[in-house]
Amino acid sequence: MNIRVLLMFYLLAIVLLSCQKVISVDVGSSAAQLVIEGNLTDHQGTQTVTLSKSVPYGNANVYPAVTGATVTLNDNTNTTYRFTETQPGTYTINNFKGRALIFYVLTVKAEGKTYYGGSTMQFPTNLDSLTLISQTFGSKSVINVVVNYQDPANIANQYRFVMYVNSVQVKQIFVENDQLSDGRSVSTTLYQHDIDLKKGDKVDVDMECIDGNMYNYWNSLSSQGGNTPQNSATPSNPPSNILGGALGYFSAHTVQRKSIVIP
Amino acid sequence: MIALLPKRITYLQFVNILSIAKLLGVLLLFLLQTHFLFAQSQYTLSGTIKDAATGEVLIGATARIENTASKGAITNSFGFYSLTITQGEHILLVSYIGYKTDSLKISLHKDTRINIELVSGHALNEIVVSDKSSRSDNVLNPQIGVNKLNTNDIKDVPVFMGEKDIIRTIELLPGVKTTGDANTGFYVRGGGSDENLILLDGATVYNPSHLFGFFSTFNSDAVKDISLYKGGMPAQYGGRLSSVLDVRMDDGNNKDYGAEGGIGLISSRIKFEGPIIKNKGSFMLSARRTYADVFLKLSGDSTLKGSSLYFYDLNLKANYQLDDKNIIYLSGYFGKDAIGLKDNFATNWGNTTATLRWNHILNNKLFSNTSFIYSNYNYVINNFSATSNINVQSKIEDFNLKQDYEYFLNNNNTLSFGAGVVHHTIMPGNISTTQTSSYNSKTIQTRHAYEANAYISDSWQPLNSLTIVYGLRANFFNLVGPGTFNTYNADGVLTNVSTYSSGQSIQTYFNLEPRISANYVINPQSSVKASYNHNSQNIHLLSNSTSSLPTDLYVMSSNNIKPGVADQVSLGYYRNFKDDQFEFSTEVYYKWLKNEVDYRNDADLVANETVESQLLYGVGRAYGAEFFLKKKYGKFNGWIGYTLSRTERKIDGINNGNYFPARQDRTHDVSLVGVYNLSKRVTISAVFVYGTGNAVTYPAGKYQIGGLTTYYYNQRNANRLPADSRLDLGVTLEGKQHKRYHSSWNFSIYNAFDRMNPYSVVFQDSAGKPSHTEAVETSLFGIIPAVTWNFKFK
Repeated sequence: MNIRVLLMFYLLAIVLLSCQKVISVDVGSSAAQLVIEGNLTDHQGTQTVTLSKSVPYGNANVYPAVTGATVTLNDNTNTTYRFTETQPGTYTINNFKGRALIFYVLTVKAEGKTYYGGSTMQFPTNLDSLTLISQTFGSKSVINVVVNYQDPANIANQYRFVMYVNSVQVKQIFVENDQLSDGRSVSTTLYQHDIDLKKGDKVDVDMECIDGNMYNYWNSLSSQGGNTPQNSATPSNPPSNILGGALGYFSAHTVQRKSIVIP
Repeated sequence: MIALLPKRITYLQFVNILSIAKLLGVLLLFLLQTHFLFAQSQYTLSGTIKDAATGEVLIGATARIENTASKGAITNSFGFYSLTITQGEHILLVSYIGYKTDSLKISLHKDTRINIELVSGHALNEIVVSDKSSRSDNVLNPQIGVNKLNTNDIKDVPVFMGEKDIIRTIELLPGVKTTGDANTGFYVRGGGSDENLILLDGATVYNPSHLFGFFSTFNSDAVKDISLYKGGMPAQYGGRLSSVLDVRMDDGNNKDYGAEGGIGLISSRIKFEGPIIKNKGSFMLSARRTYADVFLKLSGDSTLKGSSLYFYDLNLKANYQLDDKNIIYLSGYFGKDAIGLKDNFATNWGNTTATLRWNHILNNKLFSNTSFIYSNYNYVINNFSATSNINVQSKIEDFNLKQDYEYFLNNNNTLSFGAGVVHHTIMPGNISTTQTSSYNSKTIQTRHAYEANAYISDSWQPLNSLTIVYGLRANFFNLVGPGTFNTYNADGVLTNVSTYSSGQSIQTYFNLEPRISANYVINPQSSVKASYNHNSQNIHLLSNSTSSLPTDLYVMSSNNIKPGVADQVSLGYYRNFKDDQFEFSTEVYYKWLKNEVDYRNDADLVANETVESQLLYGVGRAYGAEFFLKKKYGKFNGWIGYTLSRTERKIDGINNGNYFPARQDRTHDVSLVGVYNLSKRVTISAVFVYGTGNAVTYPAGKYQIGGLTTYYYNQRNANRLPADSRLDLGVTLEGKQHKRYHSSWNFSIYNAFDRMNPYSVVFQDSAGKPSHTEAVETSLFGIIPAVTWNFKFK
């Protein structure tokens, strides 16, 4: 909820005297685990599932690909669609799209174990426009992007937004549901402090309509970073919709892109 | 220990329980009276002990007879004492810490009332060596796990931004912990910060902090006396699991008018006091306001100009003595925090409390206290932008009526008993919006409950060297309609929905809470104490952030949430040295907690109607040893406190159901406080604290999701923030003593070594070293100097 974000922003603003430094920490270690990232969109084209491994915290951000797996997708007619490995760890199916209100099941057989993930394709909600909002905090003026859409009444809707500035992804998770805004004409500011927006920057925003489980997943992940006031006091793993003990998710969702250039 | 009453208890049954309790009380009184009739050759001496200069009653003063073994009577919260002795000639010694002992010749041939006024050392401007009995009070008092402070004890301790703060000072006592620089939320013996019963003149203060926890709501100008009970809670206190912080407001001077105040860097204070009718009644009015926003107004920036950022407190107290036997007290508190950004948003929150109290001396042995108490905590959030327009209002409100008695049965037994009824209302959120807003107007259902309690306790001295305080408290909680109530199973899945009409009972809980503590005095310098207590709690605070946020959610026990219960045992050894100049104590404790509330990993606690589906339940255990060495008198005084402890929780569904350290678990906690009177006009002071870092959860691994580095966690709170330590220094320069005017300067340095203590650690992709991650520690406050000018007129 925006109010919470704003309040947090203020709390941080009060703490102008605060100081930050990089420290070395003593962390535990964990065995490598399978990570499944499966996305099925409502656009006719290539659908992708990536399989990788987690690494210990101290390692570089290089995640080993999991090759030689069998990846299949089932729909309500019990038709099985098979993905092929096009690059190590990347499994794709071409000329395919998910259809609204169909519950899809992803099956991954990798390294002798089988994993299942289920997700329902949502009806698309139209992303009407992107607008900009400029706010002054102290001597600094901050520009943020606002997404505008009409939420459909009387059904639960969940949205995820992915933002790119000059084709670089903003390292932040934006997720909303309509618990307080069912049926409203909604304007939500995508507050972010990863990339400062400047004149001439091109901003692309993907709006995804996601199912309830995926909302919980992304929402939980968004508060994961650490024990800061704006994050959860006790970070934990997000509730995955993959059965069988893998990390990651399988999400069937709509996707729609809009762009805006900072004037 | 919990017996669940039948689910649908009717009001008739409820009233019956109350009347049975009442009947038992009357019966008991009757028996005791009869018992008294046989002790014919004894008479009772009673009265009130007050400060001679201000007319304020003295709490915990001692009245005893010279050359007797009995340790005498101690005044109650309203300065009343009662002593039953054999008839004849006696010398009565009346003493109180920091006051000149008074001795009076009395000739006792009938029940007699004597009101006594003591002269304080402060008024004499000299250090008074108190009478032995009050100096060794810590050894002789049967109460274990209690710390008492008055405003004099805290006035020289250096503090954050120069704001004297009782909560920041009690955090320097063993067994009391904080979780960081910016937090007045405190943790007692492993309990949560919502498990402290914080009372201001008997009224519950739900949120004891200002400005996200940098300051407490208690303006020390308005405070007279503070008691913190960490263990062995007396039976008259209930409703929270871990501690009682009983704060009494200053009554005001009933002889002379006076004004005092201070101007500091962050806030200013002013206090007025004086008689309503001389010697009959007095008033006290105290106010404090911060002025960070005054600087905002000076800013050239128009947005900052229209912003608000401040808090204020108002304390008011008045008392009036109707006659020799009746006193009426009225006290109130009103505080508010406001934060806002022009045309953008505004939010404010605060506590309101009011206490109306009638003290009635029924006879020379029976003291009655009737109170009507109101407390309220609320917040309002406003967002003014056209598309996000929203107004959220939330409150928790209590009405409390209670009747307490103290019966000074004989010199070996003092009885306390009473009963009370509380009506709780929790309004989680009323949301109203405009047509153009992104949000719907909505009301999250308000919840109502009644809580009734009754207690009896006896302070019994079977031997001169042994005192036992034993008692029982009964607490009955009843959640009532109207409303729609969902029932969830252990997985948070909805299993039942029922709608109830107004006043209809949904759920009841009954708890019997035995309390016992004993003190065996080995010799006048040393004693051994032990206690056991059982407590229950029906109001729970849900918070999933590190800081205390004004929007943290209160819930009550319900069809889903069971009352929290705690059992604590403690054992202590008390020893005084060097003619009672030094006091040493050590206590060990073990505490079991049940029905601790936690929340699911993905819990959404804000404006969530189904929040009870997001909760998890478990148990906790806390144990530790506390050491305390205090030098009480002389030019140099202060204390050293050390706590070695462990606090763990076990919650189904978290950490694979294994015990994990609670966030406030600190293995080592050290505090040193030193105050040195360099001369009559210069006092220097220092505070040093050291503590093991809080338990936190660091990632064990990482992976990539949605193009972002994502962290893998395998054990809850298995890691530690770096240890924190801090040295604060202070100097007080007293101005020349004028007849009606006095001023002083207070200089302080917070964090004199400019140590960067950890507030939080976050993990992120390294800016300098791409494709690596780094841990970034945030510290809030480096070195902060402050100056305050204080003045006093009388």
